[in-house]
Amino acid sequence: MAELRLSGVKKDYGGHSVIKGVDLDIRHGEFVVFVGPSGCGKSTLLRMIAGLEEISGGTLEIGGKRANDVSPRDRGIAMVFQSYALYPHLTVAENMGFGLSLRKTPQAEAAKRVARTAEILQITHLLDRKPSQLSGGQRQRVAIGRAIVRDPSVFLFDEPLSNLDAALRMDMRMEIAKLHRNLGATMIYVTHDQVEAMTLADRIVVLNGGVVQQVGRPIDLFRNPCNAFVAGFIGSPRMNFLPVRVESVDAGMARVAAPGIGPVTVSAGRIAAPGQAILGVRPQILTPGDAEGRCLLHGRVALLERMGTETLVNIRLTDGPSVLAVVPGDLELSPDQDISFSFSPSDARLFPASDLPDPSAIPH
Amino acid sequence: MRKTTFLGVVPLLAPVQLLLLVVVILPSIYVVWLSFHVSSFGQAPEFTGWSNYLRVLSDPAFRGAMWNTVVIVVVAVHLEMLMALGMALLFNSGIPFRRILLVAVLAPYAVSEVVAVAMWRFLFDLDIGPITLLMQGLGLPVLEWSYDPVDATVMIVLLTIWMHLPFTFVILYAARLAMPSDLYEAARIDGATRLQCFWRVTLPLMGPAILVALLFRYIFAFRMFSEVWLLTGGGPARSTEVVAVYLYQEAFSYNAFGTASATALLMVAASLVLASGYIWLLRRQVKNAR
Ligand SMILES: Nc1ncnc2c1ncn2[C@@H]1O[C@H](COP(=O)(O)OP(=O)(O)OP(=O)(O)O)[C@@H](O)[C@H]1O
Ligand SMILES: [Mg+2]
Repeated sequence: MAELRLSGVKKDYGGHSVIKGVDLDIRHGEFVVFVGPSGCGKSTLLRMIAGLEEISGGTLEIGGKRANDVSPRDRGIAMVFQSYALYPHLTVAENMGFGLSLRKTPQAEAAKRVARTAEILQITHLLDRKPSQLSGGQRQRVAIGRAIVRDPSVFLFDEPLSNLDAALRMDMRMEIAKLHRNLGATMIYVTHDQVEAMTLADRIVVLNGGVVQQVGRPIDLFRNPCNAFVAGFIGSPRMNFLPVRVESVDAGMARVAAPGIGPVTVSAGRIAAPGQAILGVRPQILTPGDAEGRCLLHGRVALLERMGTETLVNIRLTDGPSVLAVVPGDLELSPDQDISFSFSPSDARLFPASDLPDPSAIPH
Repeated sequence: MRKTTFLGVVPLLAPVQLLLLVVVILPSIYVVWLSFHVSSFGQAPEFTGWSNYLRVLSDPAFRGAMWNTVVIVVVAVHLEMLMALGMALLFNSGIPFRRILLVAVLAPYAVSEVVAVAMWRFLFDLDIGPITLLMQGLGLPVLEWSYDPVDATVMIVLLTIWMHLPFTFVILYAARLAMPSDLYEAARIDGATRLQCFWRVTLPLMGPAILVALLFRYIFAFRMFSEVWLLTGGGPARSTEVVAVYLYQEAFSYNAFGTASATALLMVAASLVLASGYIWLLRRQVKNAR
C-alpha cells in the first residue's frame, strides 16, 4: 500500500521560501499530476517526495509511516528524470537491472524481470545497446523501464516527455496511461503541458509560487476553477479575462458591466460586493453573431488562424482589450473586418480583481 | 575561383617546414647517425654498428638507472593518481574554502622546477631544514636523503608527486565536474550507497580520464631529469640515477656521444611502446563507451 500524505510540507533555500506549506493526500494507485508555471516548485516538491531534497518543514508520510528522513532507496519509489539520466557506460539491460544488482537480486531473477519489462515497453531488441546508440524516445522508454523493473509502489515522473517531439509525446502519453492501468501503482507526474495533465490525471494539483491553488479531477478544475489563476492555467487556449465593474450582487448573481460589455447578469462566484472584478470567458464559448439572452462583444478581427477543423479569431474590442475566440470549422473572415461575437452569461465566470494583479503574468 | 596547386602552396608552408627541419628533423637524424658511431670531442666519428646499443644495454649503470626509473615511475605515478583522485572527489563534494585550496593545490605547477628543487633541498636540509627539524621535534625518523639511497629515492618520489600532482588533479577534477549530477540522483533512487556510487558510477565514468592522466604521467615520469639531477645528481654513488640522468652523464661527463645517442633512442623506443599502448587502450575505450 502506498498512499502518500503531505502535511504542511515546506522548502526553504537559505531563507528563500520555495514551497510554502503543501497539504496533500494521495491515495494508493492514484495518478496525480502537478502542474504550474515554470519555477513554481513542482520539481522541488517531487524531489522532496523522492528524498533527493531535504524537507525543511512539515511531514511526509509514505504508506502511513513518516518518511522525512528515510533515504531515497528505502522509500519504495522510482523516478523518471526529464534528462533520462541513463548510465552511459552500461547497456540498456544493465541500466534497467542496475537497481536489482545493487540489491543483490539473483541474476536469473533479475534477467527475467528485465526481459519482461523490455517486452512490455517493446525495447527487447535494444537491450544490448548503450544509451548513446538510442533515440530520445527509446531512451525515455529505457528510463521508464528502469523504474518499472524495480517494482516500486510509487512512480515519480519529472516532465518525462518534454524532450520528445509532438507525435512521440502523444504515443508515450498513451503508453504511460496504459502502464498506470496495468501496474496499478501510485504515480506522481510533473508537467507543464496541460494536455498531459488533463488526459493522464486522476487528480490535478495546480501550484503557483509554492502554494497549492486547487486540487481536483481535471474536468472539475476546468468547469469550476477556484480562482482566475487556475482558470487561466487549465484549458487551452487560455481563458479571456475582461476587467468589469460589478454594479450589484444579489442572491448569488452579480450584475456586471464594462464599456462595450453588458450590463449582464452572471454567477457571482466569490464576489460579495460591488466593485472591480474580472470576467472570465473561455474562447470556446464565444460564437459569431448574436441571439436572445446572450452577451454581445463587438470589435475588429486582429488576427486569424485557420486550422481547418477550427478557427482562432483574435478580436480587438471596440472599447478595450482583445479577446480570443475558437470557432469550430473554417471561418472565412478578413483582417480588420468588423465582427460581433456573443456568449451565454451562464458560461462565464466572475473572479475578484485581486486574483490577477498582473493579468499578463499567466502563461498560456 | 582561383585554383590552388600543390606547388603554389609549398612556398607558404616553407618557413614552418624549414624551422621543423632545422630544430627537429635534422638533429634527430644526426642522433640516429651518432648512435651508430663512436664519437667524442677531438675525435673523428667512427662507425661501430650496433655496439653502442649493446654497450648501453649491458652497462650495469644503465640497468641500475632503468630499474630506478621503473621503480620511481610505478610508485610515484600510482600514488599520485590515488591522491589526485581522492582530492578531486573531495573538492567535488564541496569542501569549505574551495577556491583558496584549489590555488594551493595548483600552485606547484606554477613554480619552476629548479626553484622547486632548491626549495625542497632547503626544507629537507639535514641540519637546518624546517621539515627535518619538525620531524625531529615530533620524534619521527628523518629523511637522510643526501647519503641514504633509499631515503633519496623516497625524497625523489615525494618531490615528483608534489610537482606533478596538479596536472593529474586537474584532469581528474575536470572529468568529475563534467559528470552530470542527475546520474547520482538516479543511482541514489536505484538504491546505491555512497560506496556503490563510487565503484559503479564514478569510477567507470572517470576511467577514460584516469587512463589519459596515467599514460601522460608514465611518459613524463619516464623522462624525469631535473628532480633527480638537481636533488641528488644521481648520487650517492649513482644509486638514484634515472635513465635521463644516465644519458646526461654519458654525453656531458664522459663525452661519449655515441652511447648517449643510443640511450636517447632507447628512451624514445620505450616511450613509443607506452604511447602506443595508450592509444590502443584509448581507442578501445572510445569504442566501448559512447
Ligand atoms: N538549489 C536551489 N537553490 C535555491 N533556489 C532553488 C534551488 N533549486 C530550485 N530553486 C528555486 O526554487 C524554485 C522552484 O524550482 P523548481 O525547479 O521546483 O521549479 P519547477 O516548478 O520545477 O519549474 P520548471 O517547470 O521550470 O521545471 C525556483 O524559483 C528556483 O529558482
Ligand atoms: Mg522542474
